[in-house]
Amino acid sequence: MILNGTSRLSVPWRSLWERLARLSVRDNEFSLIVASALISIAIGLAVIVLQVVVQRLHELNFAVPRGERLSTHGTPDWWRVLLVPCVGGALSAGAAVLIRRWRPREIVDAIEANALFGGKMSLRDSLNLALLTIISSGFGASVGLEAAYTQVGSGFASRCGQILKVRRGDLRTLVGCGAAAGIAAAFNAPLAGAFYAFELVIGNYSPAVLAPIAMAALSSTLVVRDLYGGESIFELDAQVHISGMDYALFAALGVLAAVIAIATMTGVTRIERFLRRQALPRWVGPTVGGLVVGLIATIYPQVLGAGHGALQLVLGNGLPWTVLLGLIAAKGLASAVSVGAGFRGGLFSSSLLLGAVFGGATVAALQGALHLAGFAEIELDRLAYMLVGMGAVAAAVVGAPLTMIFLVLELTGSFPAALGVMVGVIIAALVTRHTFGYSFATWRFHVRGVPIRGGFDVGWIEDLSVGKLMRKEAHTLALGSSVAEFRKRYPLTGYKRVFLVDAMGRYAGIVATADAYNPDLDKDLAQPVDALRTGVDQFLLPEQNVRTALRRFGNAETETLAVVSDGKALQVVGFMTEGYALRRYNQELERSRAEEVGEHSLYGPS
Amino acid sequence: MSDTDTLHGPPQHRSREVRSQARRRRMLRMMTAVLLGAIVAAYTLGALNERVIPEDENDLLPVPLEALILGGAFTLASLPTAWSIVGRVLIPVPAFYIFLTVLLGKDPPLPFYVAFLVAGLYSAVLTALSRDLAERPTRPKLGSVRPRRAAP
Repeated sequence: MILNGTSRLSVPWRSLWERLARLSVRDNEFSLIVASALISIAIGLAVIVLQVVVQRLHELNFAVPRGERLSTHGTPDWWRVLLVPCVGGALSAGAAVLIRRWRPREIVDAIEANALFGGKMSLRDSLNLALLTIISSGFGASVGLEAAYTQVGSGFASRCGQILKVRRGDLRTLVGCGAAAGIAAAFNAPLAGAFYAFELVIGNYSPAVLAPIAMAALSSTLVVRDLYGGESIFELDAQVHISGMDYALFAALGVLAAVIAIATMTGVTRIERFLRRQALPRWVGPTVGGLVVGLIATIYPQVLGAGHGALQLVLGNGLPWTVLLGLIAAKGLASAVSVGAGFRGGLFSSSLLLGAVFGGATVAALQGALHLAGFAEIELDRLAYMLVGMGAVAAAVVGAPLTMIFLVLELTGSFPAALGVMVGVIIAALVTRHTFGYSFATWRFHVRGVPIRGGFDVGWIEDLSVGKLMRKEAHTLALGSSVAEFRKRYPLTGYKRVFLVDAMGRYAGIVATADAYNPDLDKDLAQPVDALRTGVDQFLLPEQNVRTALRRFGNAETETLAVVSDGKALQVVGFMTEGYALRRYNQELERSRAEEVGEHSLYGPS
Repeated sequence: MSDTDTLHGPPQHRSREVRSQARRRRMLRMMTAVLLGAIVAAYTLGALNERVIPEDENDLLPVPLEALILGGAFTLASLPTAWSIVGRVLIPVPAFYIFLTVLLGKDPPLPFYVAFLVAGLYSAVLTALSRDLAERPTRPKLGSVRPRRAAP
């Protein structure tokens, strides 16, 4: 809005106006809140556009009646079920190849951007990813649109933040605002949206980020409610009844939910590896994946698309447990094949359906077991178990337990249900963390070799490299020089240390100036200085980060290390002291902590 | 470890560490086979219960038993052993008939020629997948896309 307004102004006025706009957002917390609200209104509109486009694609591709959801609508024509996902796979692969030629680098998502790049994201890349997700979901692949919502939301918010030149911490907050707005608008659930941002995108909760994120989640939700109606992903007309024994069973359900979640996440990677082993052309993977999804959908049409319609169907109707059991296998397989074969999209919605079906199958099996054991009078609440299963599997897959608890609370409006879900979710999250250690997003990072476990900022450690911190005036002396030569070139009151280099100029150790002036050496000044050197095999490389450098200092038990150009050439380019590295590390830690809590301290935001 | 090691176990002259790694790998592959067999059984059980046309429900065996047999055959066929071929022999024809009845008996039923083709694909996919699981090479084929390595 500011840019549109400024484009008509003359250059000096435009410059002044932009400076004022940046100043107001940079230095004022209230301005950041207002900015996040305005950005989130646009994101709410973007979510509506995405939903409408995918719905129209479903109507066109699968002949779904106007306003009905794909997986609620019964079985589409067999030829559509078999053909459309294949065509979608080919289209998706073609679009991905074209995009990769144009933008060859990997698309950075909100979590990665906040963890490694201080919140910097490309809006163009985000729109590309949204396009691929629309093709995938619109043509029936078993993936959700949540990845597109959060990517577009956080990408747009990051772009706005970069235009306004906000600080690193505020940019990360704006990225969180974008993701919160996207999820809140998609699920008509502002609390879930806000906690999604806290848990996944920002990586922590602090009072400083509460107001902008809450405002973002509220703004986008209100926009969607006002313009598109306040429809939830499912409607419930029954109440949930939970007794004391149920809580123990919910805990057991949580353990099994974690197993299902881990199997689904690792299944994606295994399918990817399987396809890689086949040496197929790049475009074939998604097409084959589409064919497999189509084959599954000929028997289980509920696996098509995100599965919101199927979720309503499963929660509303009492499908037999045998069909639910089959649907768990079918949905898990379809989702893993879709993502593993190269369709773009996430497992958020799929895990909700998978969990609800799993809860339904479990309660049916338990009820049967109770009947067999002669406790036919005990009636378990089917809906409660389905909600707990839904929350538990989704929490383990998405890696956001509080988000799932609030999602169930907001969608059902039932506190007893939320309490039950809390038990299952906590257990599932705990088991997943201890046995597997990843959510789906962080598992994908792990497979790609990106060393992050969440949205918390670790990028500053990478930024704080040895190359940036080192002192470049390293003084050298040839290996084999005598003590007399040393004393002649380097007086005692001059440099504290001198680096020895061999005939090829390669690093060969450090000599402390004080050691070379030891009075015991005065009687034989012709002896070589080599005997005084330390840290012969200990050195740092410019690209190493401060944490690695501190570890090296600890291992070498020294206070100074040479920095060499690379591990083979060993040319001395500078040196670093432990004291300086520690001081800079502490400063950055303090600044990071101050940013998180919104404290205006020495190193925090002024 | 060479491909033949999967059939006869690792040679004894190798170190204890290598042998225990090979044992762990074999155990993982066996567990994968069992897990996938359970998934096939669950999938088949659900599919058989999707049938609504009575003529297609006159099975020779009880439905859960049919699903269990197919899942069990898939598990056997996927084990990294020389005799897994026995399990693989059991898969194609029963799988074809089971999925043919499912596709013809569901609501709405598929046309016969489509059901025939899709059931054939199900049968072929299950057989090929079990073969790949049992005999998968430890090295990728030439020209395949290599997984990206983690940054040092």
